[in-house]
Amino acid sequence: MRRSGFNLGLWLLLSPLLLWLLLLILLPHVDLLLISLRERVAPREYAFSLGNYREFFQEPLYWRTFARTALLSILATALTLLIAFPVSYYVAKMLRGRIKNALFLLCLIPFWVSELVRTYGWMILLRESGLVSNLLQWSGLSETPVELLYNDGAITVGLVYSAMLFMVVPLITTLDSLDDSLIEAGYDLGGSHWHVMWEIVIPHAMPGMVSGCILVFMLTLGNYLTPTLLGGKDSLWFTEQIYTQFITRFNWEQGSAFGILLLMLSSLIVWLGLRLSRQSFAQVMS
Amino acid sequence: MIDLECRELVKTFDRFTAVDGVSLVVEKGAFFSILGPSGCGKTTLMRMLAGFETPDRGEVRIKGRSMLGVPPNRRPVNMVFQHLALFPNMSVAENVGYGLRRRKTPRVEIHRRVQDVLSRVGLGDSVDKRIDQLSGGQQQRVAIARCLVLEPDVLLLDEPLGALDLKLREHMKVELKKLQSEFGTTFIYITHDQSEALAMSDRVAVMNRGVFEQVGSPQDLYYRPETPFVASFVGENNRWRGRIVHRDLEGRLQVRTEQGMSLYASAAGRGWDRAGQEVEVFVRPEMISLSLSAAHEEMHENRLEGQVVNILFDGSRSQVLVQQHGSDQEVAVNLPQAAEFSGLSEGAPVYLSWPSNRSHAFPFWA
Amino acid sequence: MIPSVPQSRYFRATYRAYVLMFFVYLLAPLLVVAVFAFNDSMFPSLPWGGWTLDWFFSDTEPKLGILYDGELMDSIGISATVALFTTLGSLLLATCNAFLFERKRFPGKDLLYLLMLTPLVIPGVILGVSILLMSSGIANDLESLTGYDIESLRPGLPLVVTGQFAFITTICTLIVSARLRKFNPSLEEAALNLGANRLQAAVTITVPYLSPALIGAGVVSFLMSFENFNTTLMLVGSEAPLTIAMFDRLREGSTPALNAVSLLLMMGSAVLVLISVVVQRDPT
Repeated sequence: MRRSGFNLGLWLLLSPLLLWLLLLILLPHVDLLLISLRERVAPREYAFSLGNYREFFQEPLYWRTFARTALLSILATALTLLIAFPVSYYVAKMLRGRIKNALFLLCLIPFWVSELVRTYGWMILLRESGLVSNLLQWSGLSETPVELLYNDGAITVGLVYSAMLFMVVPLITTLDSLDDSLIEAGYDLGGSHWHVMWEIVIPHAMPGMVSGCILVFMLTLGNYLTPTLLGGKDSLWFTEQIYTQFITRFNWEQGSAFGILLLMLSSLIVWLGLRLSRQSFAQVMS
Repeated sequence: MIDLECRELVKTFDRFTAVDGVSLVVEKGAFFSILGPSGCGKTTLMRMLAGFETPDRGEVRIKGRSMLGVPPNRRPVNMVFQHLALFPNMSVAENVGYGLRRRKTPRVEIHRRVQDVLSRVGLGDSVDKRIDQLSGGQQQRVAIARCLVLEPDVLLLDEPLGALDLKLREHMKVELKKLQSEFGTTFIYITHDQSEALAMSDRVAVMNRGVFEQVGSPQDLYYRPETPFVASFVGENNRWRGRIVHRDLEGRLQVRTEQGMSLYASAAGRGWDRAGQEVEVFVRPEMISLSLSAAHEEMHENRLEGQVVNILFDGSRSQVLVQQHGSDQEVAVNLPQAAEFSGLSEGAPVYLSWPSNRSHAFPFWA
Repeated sequence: MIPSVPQSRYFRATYRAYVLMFFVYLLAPLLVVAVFAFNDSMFPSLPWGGWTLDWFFSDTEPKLGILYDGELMDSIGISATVALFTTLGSLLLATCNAFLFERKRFPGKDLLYLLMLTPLVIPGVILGVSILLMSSGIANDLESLTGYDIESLRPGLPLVVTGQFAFITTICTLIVSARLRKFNPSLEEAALNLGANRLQAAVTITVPYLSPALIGAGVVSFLMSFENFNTTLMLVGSEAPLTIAMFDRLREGSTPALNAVSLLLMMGSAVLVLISVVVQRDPT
């Protein structure tokens, strides 16, 4: 084959990719960083400054929202893992054949429904005149209607719900790939339920757990709808701050700084997760 | 002393009966094989011994103790799985030490015993290797060591050589037999490969469609098959359909095959061998002696002459296909390695003979 | 704990109940949204006002059915247009990317692959604002240089398509690559051997093989675009796609009309998903 023909083909395929990554991913984020590092000194005149970041640390509302977002995201991720693991294990290892496939597909359903619709569903369930409140009154657990919306609990329920799929799918996939005979060997050599789970199943499922946690954490951190719709006046989310700076206040410099901070936080957590589990990013994502 | 006993084990899946009333007794220190084609129920039987299936009826007793309701992790049996099931996240030593850790054996002793068993299987220097750094044969030995270190009453092996290539399989056969006699553990070995079963076992059970067709020494199975299935499954055969012409006073049958050959055979079992009964006759190619001249000293009951129609060369396992003069009957015969046969070619006249007790007749019910 | 290892009956029952509860949790919000679309009341909540189809078909206020709700219907059209463009663009680039990463070897490939994956871990809001910043920056520069204001660089539908395209392409690339990886290259070599040129071999052999993945990726990207909120929110102009329109309504106070739209959305997704499942079912 002619050398030049080969290169032409390569470049034809390579250039759209490079354009996409450069124009839509790399440069916009470099831009974001640059704008976050400047300050307007006069109309249409800017100077380098760390003022936007200083502002973040000096204004308690900002860094508190940031910390709250991070902590609630970690909590939601942990909860998602705890809830999803037994279910994934059940689907992957306790079931066979048609019912297994059916339940797996059932797990996917919420993914195909818009996040807005899902959140709306929770609003209908949790509001003062909602189903859960009525159920509580009907069963005698409560005398008066209960407002379950607009608090951190509601946010957590919603966050866990939206992210569940991204935990369940990698978990089921990795657990499914665990050969039953390994589990049987664990018992055959005298292991108890606990030991087999801890020494054989969980080490095997670790890649799935890590990729699930990373995905869930990312999604939760960047979530906008759930905290906005299910949270109350005090339960601010950091993405809401970014939105406010950009769209409401038109303070792009401050908003960019917030964006960079959020990116740094998420990258840090992803990096930590990968380090702890000794996996590569490409492994986890595919 | 009896290590393992099964009584009338039955296991049914949906409408399929995998194991249908199997009883067996295995003595201490024996190498017992269960030989059968895939789907014959041998894996289900073994999984009932290990505790991964619950029998619908019947009982398993190990060292006289009933195993009913005893979960797999409390049974004094260990299993070498078909694909070995070595834990990929653990080193060789951790794999072998797994069962000891479950028994809360002191760390120092675990270390000593793991080291000991690994050097006994010839892997003393692979202790800290990862599983995927070992060859197939080495993994095999780790899987066995992992069980033997627990000193089980019975070791179950589920076609452990199935995944290996031919050369290695031949080698591991010898090795397994050696290991078994060194450790003195009772082995129950499942396979569909008759040569593995015959070469290693003290006793073999041939299993088909959920039942044992015959249990006996390898020699029993080979020389005295009791059912057509055993005769055809163990070893190679000429297999002919025919009809009984005559039964003499010594119980020898004179049979005429569908292709028109007449021969003497011994009846397997009694009471059915009347003249006129349809039969199937099995004769092993290696039981027939081949000669180039009629004046051969060996005076077997069955003698015939024919000509070579085909030579299937396969080294020491070469065969010739001979057609009898005066009938359509073709007979496969092992080709001896003697010099006189090296020039044998198609069309050459040859003389065959074999004793009547080397052709086994079974009733054939159409 | 697998079926072949004995467990106590109590444990088994508890475990089963837990899994059942999980699926109730999973489906409850979707069910209530669907059911309250038929509530004959101004509110999507109890008390139940009886069954009605007004929220779909009534043409009069106050229970204006969604089919007669011009604003909502327009927004569905907008969303569909955006989704169509996004899907076409993403599929095209994803196919190129798949061939590039599966077939070619070039320096820096691993780095580019990692970079290709990054959109998955960038929060949608941030992806949105960064693209907003960049395009506004370019638009401002161009305006001060040439005096023209390029409308499509300002918040609006072209920018929405661009923003969605930026991350949906990654997902499509993963889907198409996975299928291409399973392709047996000797089939293509056989085509070449039988006289096809490279392009013909690709079009007649490889692309048909990829078509289930292309359709699957197309469905995924259409749905993801249609349902996207975060990125869209940052880039949207005066014309609102469905999710944005619904969000605005939701903040004003919801009526069962929103349930009705949601139900339509769910049914639309279901049809698309069914199509992709049927297409991707491998006969082998």
